[in-house]
Amino acid sequence: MKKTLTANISGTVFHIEEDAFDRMQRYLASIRAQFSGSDGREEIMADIEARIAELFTERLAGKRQVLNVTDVEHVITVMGQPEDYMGDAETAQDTARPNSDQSHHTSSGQRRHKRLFRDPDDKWIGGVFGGLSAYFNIDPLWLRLAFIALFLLGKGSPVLIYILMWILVPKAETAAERLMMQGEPVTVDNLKKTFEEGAEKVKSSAERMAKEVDELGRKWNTADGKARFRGHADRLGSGLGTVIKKVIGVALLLFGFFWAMAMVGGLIGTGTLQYGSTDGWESGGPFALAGMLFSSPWQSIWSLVAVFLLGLIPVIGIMLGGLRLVFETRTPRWLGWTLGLAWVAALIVVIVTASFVGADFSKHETVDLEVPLIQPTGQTLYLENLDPVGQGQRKHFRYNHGSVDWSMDGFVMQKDSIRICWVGLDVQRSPDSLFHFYVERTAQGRSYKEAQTRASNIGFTLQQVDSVLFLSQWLAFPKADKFRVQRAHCVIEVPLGKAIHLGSGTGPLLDDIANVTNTYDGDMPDRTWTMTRRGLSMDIAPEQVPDEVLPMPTPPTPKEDRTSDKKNVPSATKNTVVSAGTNDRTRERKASLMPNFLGLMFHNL
Amino acid sequence: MRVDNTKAQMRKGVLEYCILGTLSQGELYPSDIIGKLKDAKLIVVEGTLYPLLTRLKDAGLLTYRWEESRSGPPRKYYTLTPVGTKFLNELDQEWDELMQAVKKTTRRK
Repeated sequence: MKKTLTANISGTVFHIEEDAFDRMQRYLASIRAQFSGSDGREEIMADIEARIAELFTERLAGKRQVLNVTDVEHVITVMGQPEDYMGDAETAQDTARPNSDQSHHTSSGQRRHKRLFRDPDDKWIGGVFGGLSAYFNIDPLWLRLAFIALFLLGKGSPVLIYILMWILVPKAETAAERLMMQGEPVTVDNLKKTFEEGAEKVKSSAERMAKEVDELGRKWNTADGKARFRGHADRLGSGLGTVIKKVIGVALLLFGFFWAMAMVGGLIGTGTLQYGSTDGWESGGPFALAGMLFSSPWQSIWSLVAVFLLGLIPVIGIMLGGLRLVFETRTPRWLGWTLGLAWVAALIVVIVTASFVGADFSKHETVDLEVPLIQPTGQTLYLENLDPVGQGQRKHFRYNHGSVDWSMDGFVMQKDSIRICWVGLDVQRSPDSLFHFYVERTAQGRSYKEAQTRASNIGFTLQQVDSVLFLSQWLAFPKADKFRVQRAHCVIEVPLGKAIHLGSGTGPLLDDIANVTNTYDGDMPDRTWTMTRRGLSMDIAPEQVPDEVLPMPTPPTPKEDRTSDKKNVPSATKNTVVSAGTNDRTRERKASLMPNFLGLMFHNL
Repeated sequence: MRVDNTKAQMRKGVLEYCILGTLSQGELYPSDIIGKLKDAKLIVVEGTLYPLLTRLKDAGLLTYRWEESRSGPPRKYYTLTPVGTKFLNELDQEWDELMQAVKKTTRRK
């Protein structure tokens, strides 16, 4: 009993014994290999197959059912050995060539023709390096190592080249092609050898054989170019395509997912603004922040939604793309349109609100104020920072544990006022023999009047105990004023021959104070600076009178009068000066003015 | 140099001419052509013919039409194109001249 297969040869169905089939298969493959260089290969193969089918039909002559090896051998005898096919054609072509060529093209048609294929037996991904190594006769390991090295060095192009070669270089599918890949002459003997040596490699399993036959059959039944193109497209679509598509798709989905999470977290997340530990402060979030920026709640909601959409829509697009790649779904057309339109609308809203807000910042105005000082009894005025050390650093953003929560130290929003750590101090020479203290408060607004009103609403904290001046870095303004770059710049004027001692905590206050040694602000605190004719100096002690070392009162708790015996000091040595909050545009000289909204400022006094 | 080789070369050189010649009387399908060539001992195996036919067809000397066959697949029937006929005439002329030349140069007394 023998196993038979069914073969379709040129449209006719034959039952053929398995060994005969193999023989036929090898025969056709080697013929095919002979024509691998010529354009008309598919047509010639079709003609040959048609003739073979005819010969088989004649052989069976309606009497037998199954083709056997003898029939195949007969056909091969009639048709000729593979060498005969190309041999004649080649020689016929060669008649025009010089005779010296004849030595290479013997009548057997044996040629050493090496072609580049992808090696399906020596492959990691697509067999490109296996084929290249066969072509150049190098160990594929080196090629792969070089590839990986290039890839690790950040050169992306090798990957692209690899993919291109995967697509463009054909896979060595038949035994003949494998031989060509290795550069051995394609002869029947060699083919046989290949089959026998690498039995499991080439035709070990029946499925593999069947698949090859199926593929061959399909190729032969289509036009040459078409088949080739489709082969490439199939390969792109199946092997490489799906893998890369899925990988990219998953990456897009993950990226989109985390982005969306980050955005939602940013919108409703906890502790978006860290307001510090003091009670009575409003809960934070971008809404509160937006409320500070935008002149109406509607504006702030609209613009927040718009900004959110601006960020979110691309994420949705990316995730849709990822879904498409991974699950091969189709995005409905209307969805794309809707998303696009929503994005444009959001962009318009953002631009419009931004221009509104921008207009609110267009003008700026400064309001000056002199605060009378109690002149120190000695030569030196002592300046200290009113705020505990470490609190109220200059504002900064903080990236918190990888989340998008951000906090702003030096920024506090209270029930109806806003406090900002934004007071700067300069030290200049006094025109007379007295210490002076001035504050320049600046704000912005839609009009000068608005800016001026805001500026005069800015409150700051100054406290004097004997010769010690306590200044807070914090300024405050009503919440209704919104944030319009309110800031306060203080100037202490030191008369010639007198000194100012900058306390150790005053660093954050100092704002580019000129001095003779060009000492950087950060290095100025904790020293006594004497006003000389050339400017502030830390090397010269105040002239004539030796420094009176005054006891340093501990701020900011109120003290008993310890200096009441001194003549030019008022009965109350504690002199708190707060200026803020009136719409009165005249310079305020009143020592004590404390609007309601600043009440909280003194919780720590 | 072997005489078999030289003989084969000589036969192959005129093979295209002979294929065109078989078609000068009318259309044929490959098996007919093969039969004639085999009779004349110009070819031994059939496989040789197919690449040649394809090449002549691609050169515009031949054309073919399909015809259904009662036994087996449809057959290609080849005919000469006008270009092919002209080509054949030129070859005829050349062949005559060649024959003369061979006769003249190889005549031995």
